[in-house]
Amino acid sequence: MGNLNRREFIAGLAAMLGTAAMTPGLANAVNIGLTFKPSGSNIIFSEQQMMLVARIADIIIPATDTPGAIDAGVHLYIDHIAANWMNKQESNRLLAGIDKIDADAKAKYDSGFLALDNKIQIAIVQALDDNLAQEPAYKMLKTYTVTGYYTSKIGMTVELNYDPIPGPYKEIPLSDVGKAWS
Amino acid sequence: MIKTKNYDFDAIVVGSGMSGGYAAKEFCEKGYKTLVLDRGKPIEHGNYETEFKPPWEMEFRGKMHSEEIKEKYFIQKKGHGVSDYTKHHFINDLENPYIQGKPYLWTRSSKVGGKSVIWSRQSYRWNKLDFEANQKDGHGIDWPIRYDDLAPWYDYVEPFIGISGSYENLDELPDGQFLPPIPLNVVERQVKASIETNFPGRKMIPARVAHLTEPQPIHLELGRGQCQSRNQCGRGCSWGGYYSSVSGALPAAKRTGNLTLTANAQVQEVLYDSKTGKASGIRYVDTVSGETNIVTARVVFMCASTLGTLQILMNSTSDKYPDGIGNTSGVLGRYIMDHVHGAGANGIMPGHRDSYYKGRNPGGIYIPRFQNIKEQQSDYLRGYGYQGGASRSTRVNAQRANQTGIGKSFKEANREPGSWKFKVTSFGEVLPDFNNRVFLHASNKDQWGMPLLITNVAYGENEAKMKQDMMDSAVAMLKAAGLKNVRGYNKPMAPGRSIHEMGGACMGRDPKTSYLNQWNQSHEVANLFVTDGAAFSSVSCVNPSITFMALTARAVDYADKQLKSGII
Repeated sequence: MGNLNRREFIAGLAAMLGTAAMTPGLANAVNIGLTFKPSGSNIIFSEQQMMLVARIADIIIPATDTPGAIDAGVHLYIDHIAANWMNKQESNRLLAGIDKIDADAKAKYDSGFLALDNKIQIAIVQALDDNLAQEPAYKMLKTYTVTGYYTSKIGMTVELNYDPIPGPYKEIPLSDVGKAWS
Repeated sequence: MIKTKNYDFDAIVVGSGMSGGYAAKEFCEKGYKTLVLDRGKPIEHGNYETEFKPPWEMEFRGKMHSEEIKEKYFIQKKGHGVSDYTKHHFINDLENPYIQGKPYLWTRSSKVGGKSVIWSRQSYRWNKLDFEANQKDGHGIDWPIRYDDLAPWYDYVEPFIGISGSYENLDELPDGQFLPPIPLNVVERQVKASIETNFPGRKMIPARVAHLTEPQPIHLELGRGQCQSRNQCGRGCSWGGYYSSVSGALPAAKRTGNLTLTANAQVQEVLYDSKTGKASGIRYVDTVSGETNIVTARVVFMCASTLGTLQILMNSTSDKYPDGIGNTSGVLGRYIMDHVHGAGANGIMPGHRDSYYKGRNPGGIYIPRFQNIKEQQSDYLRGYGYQGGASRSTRVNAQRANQTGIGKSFKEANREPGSWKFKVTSFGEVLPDFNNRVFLHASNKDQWGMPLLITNVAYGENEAKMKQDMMDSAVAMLKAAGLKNVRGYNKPMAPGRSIHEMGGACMGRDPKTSYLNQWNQSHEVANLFVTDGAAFSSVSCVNPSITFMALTARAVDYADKQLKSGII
């Protein structure tokens, strides 16, 4: 995260996203996100890229009646994976893809993605998603967003049903538990 | 039995997995001071390092790093069950080289307990036909035993292991001593009904698995308990819900006070005493200190896994046996077999949207062999069985990156489990072939001085034809059952990949063509026994582990009688 300390990051994110984009649990969310401690120190995203990823992840999986992607620290997870798990080629592709989303926004709206109106941001992501198969960079970002969220503690225990020690295998109606086991 | 003065131990067992653990238990319970040597690192039952780790506590959420795979697990990762949660139970490929004369995927355990910790727990008896097949079609060496010789020993080991299963009264898949089966779910019942109606003679039954669905005193007294349907078995299970040597046989051996277990012990040689004509003991290297040790005993049981055992036996040379102890015949290392694997089908079952389950089924279904039983029906010899089952993944897992949707509606859609998916994969019987062999490299050695093993094993035409049918028949059954998007597959797969390797020190009647007699005893060196997969003269199509254990218990019973009567 470059030279930013945690407080500056939160302040920066809030400022960039604007209050309109603040999801109910955002401040808390960012805090939760930042408690995630990746093991390596070579975190790869710039601040700009980090905030862009956080915003897009939050559009894909927003906080609703349950916490969303930012709450689950998905942006930090992707940064960690890009820095420490992906090979150079993959991470370069991801970084270039993130920058392209921003560059495309600038070309079309004369403004970077993060400064755009909330509704326009969502429309951009929706358009990319509608065209998933033809948008490899976005598809990559979405894959890691979804993986990051549904393997996080929030995604597994709050969003879905976590059942680490189920006991004897038995059939039940879905309505008994209401949603999928994580 | 008091330890004989002239020996360090009464019995030495090399290896502590399926066979070695059971040999140790039997010897210890009969009063023999027993040394078990295992090349693996120590493992502590009840203290498995990743057992309770959720994904979010794993550095990469459970995904293995590609560099780590490339560096350390480049063979193991191509096999079954290696993940970030289980990788420490597998050997480091860089440190444990072998030479693939022909492609061969050799899966090995890094821990005491061997592959019993990481096995898939499927437990089926062989049938009568399996022991007669070599004689009938002329491939391989005729077994010196038949099903009836082994049946009492299945009866003996099954209650101790704890196997859940249903009683079916099938000739092709004999019943055993079962705990209650894990029930079939609604989709599995539907597919079963279709198969049994549309394909007369075929059956689909609950998988028979070594899981305690209803623990008995024999399990509870060892600290084993009920299976919790976590289905994360390869990490180790503190409940002892599934059978492993570490939760079952080794604790049973230990409580007798007769067990000495030495880990990090790479056995290199069975020592031969030319004066007595017997094995005098074992030479091993402590892989931590690098020291060489010699230990002696009245009897030696080789249970180091099929290829591990062969490597040691071939390296046990003397003036009398320049090609490996007990190997005057030259058959040691011949007839290496592994199940035909890598073909099957899957599909989606529409409907049943309100049907779900609690727990992750560690078993599933089994479709016993239905080919060439009463008469030859196909263009290949012998047969195969299917394993599989029906389940519902989370939608995000089922569809991954291809799933479109964003926002609130996307999240909510993901709360519903995915469609019911039914899948089967198969294991088939390979024909024994004299030319499928392993042998030692003349000069290349590992870091501890053990000559490297060379694998020269390949599947043949019979296997290719069988594999095609494995896919085609699966597709036909799944389509008939009303499954949609049925997709068959038939993937190229090197031997070893099934992790059911057997043969190389085959049992037989004739010392000229086989290595062991009907008691798993060397034809030539009377106090040397081999009771792991190396002893097998053919491989059936069912998973071998409980047959390893039944043969082992039978061989110890025989060795005990021979020892007591002073014959060995």
